Amino acid sequence: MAITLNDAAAFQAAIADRLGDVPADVASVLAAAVAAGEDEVRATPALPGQTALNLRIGRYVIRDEDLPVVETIGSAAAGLATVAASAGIAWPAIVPAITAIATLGWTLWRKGALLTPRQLRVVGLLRNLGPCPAATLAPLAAVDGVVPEDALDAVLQSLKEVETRDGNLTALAATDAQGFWRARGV
Amino acid sequence: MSAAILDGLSLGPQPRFLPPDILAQYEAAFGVLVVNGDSDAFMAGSARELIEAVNHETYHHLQTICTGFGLTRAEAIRATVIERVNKAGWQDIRDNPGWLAAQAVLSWAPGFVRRRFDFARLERLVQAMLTHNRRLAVAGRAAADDPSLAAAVLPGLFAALDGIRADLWAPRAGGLADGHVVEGAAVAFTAAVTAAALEGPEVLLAEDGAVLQAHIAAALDPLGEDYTALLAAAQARSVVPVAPWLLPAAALAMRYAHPGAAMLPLLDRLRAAPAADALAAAQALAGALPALPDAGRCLGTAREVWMRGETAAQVHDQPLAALEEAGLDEVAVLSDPLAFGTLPGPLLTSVIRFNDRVGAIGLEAGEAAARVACANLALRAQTRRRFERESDQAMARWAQGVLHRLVAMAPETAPSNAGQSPPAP
Repeated sequence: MAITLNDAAAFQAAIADRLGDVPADVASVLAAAVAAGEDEVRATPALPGQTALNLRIGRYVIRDEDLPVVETIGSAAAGLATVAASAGIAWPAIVPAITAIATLGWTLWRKGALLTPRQLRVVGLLRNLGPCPAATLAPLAAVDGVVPEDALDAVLQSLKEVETRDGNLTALAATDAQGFWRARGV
Repeated sequence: MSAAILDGLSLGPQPRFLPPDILAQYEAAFGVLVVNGDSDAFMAGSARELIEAVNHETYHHLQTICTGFGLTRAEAIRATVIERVNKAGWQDIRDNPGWLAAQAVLSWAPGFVRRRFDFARLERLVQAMLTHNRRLAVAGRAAADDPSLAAAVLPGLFAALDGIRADLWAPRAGGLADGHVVEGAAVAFTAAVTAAALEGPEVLLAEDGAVLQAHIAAALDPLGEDYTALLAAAQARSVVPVAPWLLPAAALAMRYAHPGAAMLPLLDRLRAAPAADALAAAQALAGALPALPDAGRCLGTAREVWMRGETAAQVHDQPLAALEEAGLDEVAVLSDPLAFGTLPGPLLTSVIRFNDRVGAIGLEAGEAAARVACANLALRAQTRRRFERESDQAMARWAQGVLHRLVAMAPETAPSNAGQSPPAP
C-alpha cells in the first residue's frame, strides 16, 4: 500500500507523523531533512538512452517498505540526541548531524542502499565530532549499546564503500593521513 | 492473466533495479514487462497499484503489436542493441581466441574421449580463464559516468539509444510529443479498464463520457506531464469531455511516424461522430487515413509493417500472427476496454519480470531467458560491480576446487603435530 502526497510539505508532514517516539522539535528537523533528501533524488537527472516505457509516479509517495526506514532514522536521531546529552552537548549543536543522517539515510535508501542503525549512529557522530580517532568514537557509539566497541571497526569499514542500486559506490567515511576518521558527503 | 503463465520458469534471482517511483516499465524491443513489486502480491490481487501497472505496461505491449509506430520503434531499439551485442561478441573473440577455440574443441569432443581425458576438468579451467579475462576486460572498459555492465560491455549503446529516446519526446506540430500519445493513451485505457471492472461497463459511456473522463483524470492525478499532456491538449479543443474519442484517436495516430503530430487532427475528425460511435468512426477512418504532412509517413498497423518485411526481428512474430489469425481489429484492441480481458493468449506473448521471479507468457524458457538477458542490457539492470563480484566468486570456487584436488592427490605425510595429544572433542 502506498500513500501518495501532493507536494513536499504534505510529504514532510507525513514523514513527521511516522517517525515514532521522537520529540516534536526533532521530528520537524528530521522530516525536513528527509524531504530534502527526497527532492535531491528526484532532481537526479536520468542517464541517457533510457528507451523503456515507464509508469513513473510524479508525486510524492511513501510505500510500506519505507516505513521501517523512517522509524530507523527517527530512532538513530533520538539516539544521537541521547549521546549528545550524556556528553554535555547542547541540542542545537547536533542538529547538523541529525539533519545529515536523515538526508543521507533517506537518499541512499531511495537509491537502493539501506543504512543500519549502527551505520547511522557512526555517521552522525563523525558529522558532529569532525575528524577523530576510532578510540574517541568508541564510547559515544556504544551509548545504549548501539555499537559495541568490538563492532566499531567493522561499521567504519562498511562506511568506506556503500553500493547503491545502480552500481555507484558512495564513501560515507574515510581515514586521513593521521589515521583519523572523517565523514564524507554523498 | 492466470497463475499458470507465471509457473515453470526459473531464471534465478534477477537484480532489482527500478527506483521506487517507477512502478513498472515495458521494454518493447524484447517484449519484457518489468514490474516493481512481488509476484505474490500481484497474484493475490492485494496490490491494486500493481495490477494497474501491469495493465498499463500490457497496453504498451498491445501498442507495439497493433501500431506501425510501436513496432517500428521497438525494432529500432532491438537493432541498436543487437548490433552492439554482435560487436561485443567479436571483441570477445579477439580478446580470447585461444580459450574460445579450446572451449569449442572441448564441447565437440565425443563422449568416450571426454571421459577418457577428464574433459570436464579442462572445461572448468577454460571457463575460469575466460571469466578472468572477461572480468579484466570489463574493468578496463568501464565507463566513468555509468556503472552499468552494459555501458562497459557495449560501448556507445546508450548514446545510440538516446537518439531514439529523444525522438519519442520531441515536440511535434501542435505541441504534443509522440511519447505523450503513447503514455497518455496507456493511462486512459488502464483507467477505463479499472472503472469498467469496478463500476460496470455502463460507466464508459455514462453522461457522454464525463464519468469516464473523471476516472481518467483521477488516474492521471499522481502522474507527471509525460502522462497528462495528452488529455490536457485534447480537452483544450473541446467543450464536451473528449474521453470517448481519446483512445480511438490515439490508436490511429500511432499508425503514423509521428503520432504527436497526428493525434489532434485525427481527434478533430472523430469528434464529429457521437460519443457512442467513436470506435465505429475510428474503424471507418482507419480504412482511408488522411495524409498528414506534419505526422510523417503513414506506417499503418504493425501487421502491415510486418507483412511488408520492414522488421527483421522475430520477437513479436507470435502475437502478430495471432492478430492475423484471429482477424482482430487493431483499433478495437486498443480502444475497447471491455475486450481487454478476452484477448487471445498468444497476443500477450511476452516476459513478465517481477522483483522476485520471472514468468513467461507463451514462450519457451530458453527464449524467455534470452529476452531477459537482452532486456537487462538495454535497461541497465545489471551493474558492473555485481558482474565483477560474481566473476570473483566463480574464480574463487574454481580455485578452491583445484586446491581440494591437489590436497587429495598429495602423498600422505606425517602431520606436523605428530606426537602431540589430539585436541579434546
